[in-house]
Amino acid sequence: MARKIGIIIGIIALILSFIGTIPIYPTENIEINFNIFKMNNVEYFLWGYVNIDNSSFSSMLLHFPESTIGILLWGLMLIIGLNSIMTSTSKTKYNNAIKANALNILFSAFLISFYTINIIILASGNLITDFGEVGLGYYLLIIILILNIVALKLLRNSEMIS
Amino acid sequence: MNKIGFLSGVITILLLFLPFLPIGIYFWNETTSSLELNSYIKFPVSLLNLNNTKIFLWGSTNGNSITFWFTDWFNNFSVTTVITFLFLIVLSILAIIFSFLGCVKENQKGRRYMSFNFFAIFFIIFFTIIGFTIYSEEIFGSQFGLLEIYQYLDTGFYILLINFILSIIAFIKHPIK
Repeated sequence: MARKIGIIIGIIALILSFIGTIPIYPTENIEINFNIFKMNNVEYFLWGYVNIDNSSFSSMLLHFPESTIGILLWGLMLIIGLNSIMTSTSKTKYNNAIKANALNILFSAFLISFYTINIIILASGNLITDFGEVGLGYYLLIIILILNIVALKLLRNSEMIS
Repeated sequence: MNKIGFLSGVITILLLFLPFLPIGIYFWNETTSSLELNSYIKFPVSLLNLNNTKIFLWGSTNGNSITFWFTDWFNNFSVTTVITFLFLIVLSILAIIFSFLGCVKENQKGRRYMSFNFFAIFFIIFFTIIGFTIYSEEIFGSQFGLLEIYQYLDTGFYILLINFILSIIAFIKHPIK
């Protein structure tokens, strides 16, 4: 079960790292948007942001050292994705899986707290309405954290049983 | 299976076949008319960037035209293009083959393949720093020294360095039954 959860976490993390939107019914503009939050007609993703006129920008494209934070945030999500998938194979050692899960929890908790602070700072005054602008990406980050905790508990339980 | 070796092979494939990494992929919006693959961010994978001339593993671009190392070899035969072709394209293909062969073989032979992958990436990095300095006049049209090249290194080179570290880990941690 922990392995299956790991693969799900990996897929979600890689989607958040690479994909902006997935169309469901294009002619009606129905799509799944993976933005973290949306404020003042700007959609903030994990890899950058997109304006209402579809112009985009990512701090990862800046020169060093301005690009460091952008690459670090994106890299953390990529590491969570790769970690989860690589430790979900049948031959993975128990200790490695535990370490990878603990790292994933740490990284996803860091990302959630980073974006929560960002939302609070950018909030125009009314926190409740501003948190209404939080997108699917933010909830998926929370789901990744919860699934990682569940996977870690399942791994520890399986070790105790065996 | 050597998963880090596999990852190393995937990274080399991305560097050899792509001009950029598409990030923020979307398939449809008001400005696109069909369900094609688009991306908001094009993360560069060029090894060097000098006055808008970008050097990739597969060739170079200067904003207006694209030159592949192998077509350049046929059109404008010179020692520089042959050596660049050998060091960048041939070694990259060998690195990909060895990493994929090595990652599935959990024995001494697989470990040897992983060492070949490590050496192939090492020589690509070595050529990027030393070779492009020696042939800077022919390739870029301006001569520069060994210490100058460091200011022209682009993200592709750093990805290659990460790949080099991964190839070392893949070689050391290669599972042997």
